[in-house]
Amino acid sequence: MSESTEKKMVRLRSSDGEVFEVEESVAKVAKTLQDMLEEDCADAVIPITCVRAPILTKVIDYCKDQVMISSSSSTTNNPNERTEQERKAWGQKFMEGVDSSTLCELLVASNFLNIEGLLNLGVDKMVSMIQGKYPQEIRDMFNVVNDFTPEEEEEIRNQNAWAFERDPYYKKRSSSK
Amino acid sequence: MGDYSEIKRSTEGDDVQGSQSKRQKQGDEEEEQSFLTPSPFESIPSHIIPSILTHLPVDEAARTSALSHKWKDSWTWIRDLNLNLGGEKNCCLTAKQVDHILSSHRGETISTFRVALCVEHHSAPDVNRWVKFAERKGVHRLALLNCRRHRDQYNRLLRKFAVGCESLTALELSRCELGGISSFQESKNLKTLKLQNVALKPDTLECIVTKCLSLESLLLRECSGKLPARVRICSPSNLRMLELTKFGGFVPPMEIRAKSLRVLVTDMVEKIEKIDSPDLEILSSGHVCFEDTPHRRYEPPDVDDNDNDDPIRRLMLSSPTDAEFLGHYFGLHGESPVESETHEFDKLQGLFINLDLDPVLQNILLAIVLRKCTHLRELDIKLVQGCSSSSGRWVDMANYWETKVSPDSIAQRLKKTRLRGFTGKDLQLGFAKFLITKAPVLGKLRIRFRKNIPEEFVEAISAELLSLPRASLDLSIEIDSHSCLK
Repeated sequence: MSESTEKKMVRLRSSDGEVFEVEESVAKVAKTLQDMLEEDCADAVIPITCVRAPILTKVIDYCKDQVMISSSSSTTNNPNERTEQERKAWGQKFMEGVDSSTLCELLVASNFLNIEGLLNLGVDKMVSMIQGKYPQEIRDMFNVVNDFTPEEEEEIRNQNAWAFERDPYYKKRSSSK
Repeated sequence: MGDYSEIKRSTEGDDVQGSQSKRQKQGDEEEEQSFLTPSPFESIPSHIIPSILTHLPVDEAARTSALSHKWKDSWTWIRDLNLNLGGEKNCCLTAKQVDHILSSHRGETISTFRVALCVEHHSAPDVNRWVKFAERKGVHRLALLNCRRHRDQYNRLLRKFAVGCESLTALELSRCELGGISSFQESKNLKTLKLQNVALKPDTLECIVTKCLSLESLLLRECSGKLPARVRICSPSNLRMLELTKFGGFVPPMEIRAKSLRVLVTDMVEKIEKIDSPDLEILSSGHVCFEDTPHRRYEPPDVDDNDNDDPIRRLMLSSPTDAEFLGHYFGLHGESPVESETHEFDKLQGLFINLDLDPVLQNILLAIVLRKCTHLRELDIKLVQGCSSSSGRWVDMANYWETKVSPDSIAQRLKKTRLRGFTGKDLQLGFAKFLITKAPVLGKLRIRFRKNIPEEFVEAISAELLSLPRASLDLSIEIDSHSCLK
């Protein structure tokens, strides 16, 4: 209601050079940007060096939504106010269809920009993706390079043998022998 | 040795040879790629990894050590240790394995240590050792579940913990017997205590409340044992949330004096003779109604959780004796047993109740309640068939809402109303009409018909309600019948 005057805009540049113009209030959802803006050291375009454009788009979507919620909840008893449940459902929907590499980049971005809510959503999503999976399955899913030598890996597995007991890949070895 | 990793890396296919070479190739490609751009997975900041692993069962977390160098030790930094040792599906970890897990842990602190014990596999010294570990790591929340065998150990631990462990703010115990007073020495720091399936001694409850001075949340679920002739819960300052549900055994009258109490959950509301809690926000007679207000939010009030100044104040009831309780609560029956007087109701913003609006008496009650709750915003009534059949004498009151209730001070701020189990009978219909035509700011009215109401009747009533002149400009009316859910 108070923002009848022209909204201040902030420009952000992704790592691949795309420039995004967003309202200051949206940018301020990211604590890192908030600090910069408050210190007034962000006249020109702010470079977000570790975040690619598609990821930054997603991050901005998130921030916009946060602004929408908080601005409407200042007027009492508004219809946009979310219960915990709705918030959860919204978060799930927001992360729906996010693939494994996007997810990792989102984690990096939300950590860099210091957006706690988005970081938590990412962590939850990550948990749901790797839950119940064995190392090889996780490697396949996230294209992780196994940087252990076979001996090193064997040793790690032996160290925590209790956790690997039922690893199907482990079993496969003994059965195929 | 050498071929182990190769085979392990093959995901599928019986032809080990073939998939092996395929893997090899893919591996090379991956490596090449990784030189150009580090895999996104590897760029996840290291300090985030433990917070991901914290949400996994500990064996899964430990397995991620085989992913890559970066992940190798991450699992030893998790802040929450959740050891489910007694689950049927996951076979028990031996005491030795648990010791190994604990000795692997590198983080300086852990915030949660939760152990579901397995009666056959773990001895009292084991448990003692683990609890000592938790203490050393400055644990905040400790949960020991399923300790039936270890009663003495338990009591000792409790005694020690309640006094000795300064970091501990939350303690959860299940399936055990609590000893007498001695188990709860004065505790300065304990904020949350959850006892599930615990046998209490007559003086336990009172002791807990009077001795744990910082206690904010006290939850007793499915507990049993003997209670004193009159249960007095007197918390001078801090108790904010109290749950007493599914108590096995006779429940005597209760008296609650807790100045800071915000949430009271109990399925025995009818036993409450006195409540002196002027700041009560939520009174619920069961979990059921918490669908809108997640219980979680009140359960472990985190030390650094500042989300506590929620202005919503709700009264949620769902037991068959709601009407009676309401009467008591609002001081309508003869001598008023509830001491704190009307001043507390003007803050009430949500009311969730079971009522039978067929007998006129309950309508009168509702009208009085609505008049007292001047700030009420949300009203949710589940219409239940009551056992009282005293409606005969009141036949001439069928148009109670139309004729007897002056709308001036009722439902002035009501925004949202839900009527479930609607039958469309005289008084219920009258109340619905009253809301539509008289509530000035009502935004949403949802009516859900009871099962087995003929469709024609539903339609006729719906048409009648929808055609009424509305007091509120932005009122939307939703009507569901069970046969055709919209």
